[in-house]
Amino acid sequence: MNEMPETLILKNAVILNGTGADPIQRGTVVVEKERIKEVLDGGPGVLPTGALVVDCRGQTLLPGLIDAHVHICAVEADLTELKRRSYPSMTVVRTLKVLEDCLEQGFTTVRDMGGADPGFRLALEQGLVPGPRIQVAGKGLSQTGGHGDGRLPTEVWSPISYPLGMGGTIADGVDACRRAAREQLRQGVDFIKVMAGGGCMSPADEIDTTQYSLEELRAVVWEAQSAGKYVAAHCYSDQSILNCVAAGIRTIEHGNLGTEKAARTIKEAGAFLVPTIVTYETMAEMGVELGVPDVYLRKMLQARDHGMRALEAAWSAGCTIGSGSDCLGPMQLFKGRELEIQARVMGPMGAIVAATKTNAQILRREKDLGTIEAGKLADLILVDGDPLADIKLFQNYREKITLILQGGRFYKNLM
Amino acid sequence: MEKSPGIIVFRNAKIIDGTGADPKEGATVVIEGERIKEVATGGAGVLPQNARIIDCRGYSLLPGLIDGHVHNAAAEADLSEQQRRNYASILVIRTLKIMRECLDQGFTAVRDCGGVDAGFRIAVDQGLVSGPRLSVSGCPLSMTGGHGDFRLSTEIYSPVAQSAGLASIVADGVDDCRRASREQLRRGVDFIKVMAGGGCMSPADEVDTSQYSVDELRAVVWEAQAAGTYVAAHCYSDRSILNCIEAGIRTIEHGNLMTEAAARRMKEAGAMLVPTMVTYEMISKMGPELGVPDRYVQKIREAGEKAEDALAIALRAGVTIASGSDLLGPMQAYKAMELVLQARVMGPMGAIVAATKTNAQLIRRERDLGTIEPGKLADLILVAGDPLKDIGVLQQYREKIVMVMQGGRFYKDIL
Repeated sequence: MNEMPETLILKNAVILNGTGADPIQRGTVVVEKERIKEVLDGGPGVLPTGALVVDCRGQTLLPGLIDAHVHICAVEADLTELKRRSYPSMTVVRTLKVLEDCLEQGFTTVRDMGGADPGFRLALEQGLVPGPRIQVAGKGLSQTGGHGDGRLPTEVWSPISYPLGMGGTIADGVDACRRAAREQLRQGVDFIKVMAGGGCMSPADEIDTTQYSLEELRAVVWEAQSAGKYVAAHCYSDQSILNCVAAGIRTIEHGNLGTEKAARTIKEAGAFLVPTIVTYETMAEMGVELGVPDVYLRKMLQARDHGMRALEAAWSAGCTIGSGSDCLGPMQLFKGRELEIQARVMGPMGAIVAATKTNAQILRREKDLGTIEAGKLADLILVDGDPLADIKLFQNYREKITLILQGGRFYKNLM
Repeated sequence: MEKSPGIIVFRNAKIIDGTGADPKEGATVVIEGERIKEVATGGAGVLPQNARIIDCRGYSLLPGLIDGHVHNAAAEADLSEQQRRNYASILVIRTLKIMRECLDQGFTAVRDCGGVDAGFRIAVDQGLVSGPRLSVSGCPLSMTGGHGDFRLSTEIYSPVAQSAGLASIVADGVDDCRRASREQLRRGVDFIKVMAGGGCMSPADEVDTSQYSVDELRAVVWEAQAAGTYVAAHCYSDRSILNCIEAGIRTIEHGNLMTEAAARRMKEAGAMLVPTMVTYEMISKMGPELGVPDRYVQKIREAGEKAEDALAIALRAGVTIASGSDLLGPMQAYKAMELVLQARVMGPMGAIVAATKTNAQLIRRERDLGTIEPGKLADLILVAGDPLKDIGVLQQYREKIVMVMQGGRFYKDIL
């Protein structure tokens, strides 16, 4: 990572601060070491000596984007084969590239929904490798034959917990779920991920099924809450979502088959929805050439076809909506497209707020991250253009994202 | 790493070619692609126009050094605590840094005697990471309570097969040793490492003990040879070495407590000795401040005191002597001190030949590596000064090793 100026002044910027407020047209952000000191409508006034001044020339300054649903260890599109064919070391080597790609795309924080162990979080905190701030779920909990069980229906060996990379931990019954949750918490995860319904990239389930009993889900929530943490659940169908909300699960991931009924329940309970529509779109476009098996693609298309309707239902019901990508393998370079897709329903400002302020709340880091306000960590990106007029700008990140700042340190600076 | 420009010519170099022959003054080496095309005393003939010509006056050109005994995954000095206190991912990340530092020190190939999996070798071969060419043994085999059993004498849980770091595998009995060897071979290792005697950095054994029965060692050798490879054994005492020779083990690691009896048997059997004197020197000096427990430092001193005598005995008996460092944690920056220590017994030329030509034989890569001869891979280092006059220049690698080339590509070039 590059240097951290003592004082950095970003002037003449359009400031889109992540709160949803109208942009400041010609503002200044003063950064002192790792935090934002001041946000001014207008020029910087008297400059402190030694300050580094960047003239943003009418470009748009935003909070660093947050991706609330990633799998950094999904270095290939076909997860089942990846688990079978990668040495642990190779998985880490390739994951480090994915982490850099996150930052390149302007995502300064991500939430890993299964695969990465807490060692990645430590490595990033210690500055051993460049990458986004990260929260990890470790191994997602899955029932036998559930979305985290990578065995083909024809395979008969006992499920194993992969030491590193993708692959869940199989637990059946209240006691086993409790123990599995405690084991993940013991290993230092930031939250618990549970597979509460069928998934696309798993060999033995359909996406409209539910997985786990209420009692099992409740046991997982109890354990997470006992440790001051929360549970995120993989869900598609209404019933799956209703089960999760009834069990006290805090974040509903995907939710593609959700109707008004599920949306109302999410809203009433104050749960979060994290749509990940881009992964279905990119999979539909690139899955075949990436060698993803037909059975998975069929399910991906089914989920894609319902994704927008579910988002509309949640938006109309007033749900709090975060933003995730869930992209796999080389498709992880298309994170920015989730904003374009969400903007069709929520408008560009809605999509930006979801990927900044709301995602910071989902990560419980709203005190430090998600908006451009005095006192917050200086995770900032500068974009050449107006994302409210062209939300696709983020996808052209190599040229259009001209500056990336993480905790006051430059990761990229083309200014 | 920089791309090779096609043809590179080193002119006016003092060439120490690794064979033990007298150095060639004012000689020329021509590199084409990844290999050495020509070695000429005096100037080269007509050179193609696009050739890059490097004037090496005042510098010595040597084969890239090879370290015959490393543990890339030893990120910390205290191995048992390292295994207890690190996530798998962070151990991989820290190993990648150690691998880059090998190249920085002019070591373009290393033999990993326990810890790293075959994925590291593949990552280097594919150019995903910068590091030395690797020959790996995966998890070393250890008996219960042996040098690879990191459980404290007071700990009573079953040994666990770990996935990263200095992961070893505990196997007892002929059948279990056979299965453990097959498991490592199945996972793609280049050779098998076996702990055939007590070690310093393990909690429940003494250095003068022998470990494993000859029958178990024979089973391991059988399996390795059946797969076309060989066994390397950790040994200190005569008893331990004699067991290994009887079982057909090809390389004896350390050998610090060896007497004439064992040396003679090694010579007759054609086994190779890999001394690792520097690690005793460094742990004696730095171990206490690095938090290495007293008990381990005491064993290190016990083994270290005998190291030079053992080398002299082996040299007199005519044993083929290779070169290893076996350094741990931050001490891995002192690899070339092994050459300094060996030179006290074998002279500087002897130490250089051990770390180049002989080590290439050790890793069975003598057709491609170890000497500066036409047809070999262009793994070369350019050193300011003359290592035959002052072998210590190799340890001052930051300033004195001005160029490191691996397969015709520059890793370092500050000339």
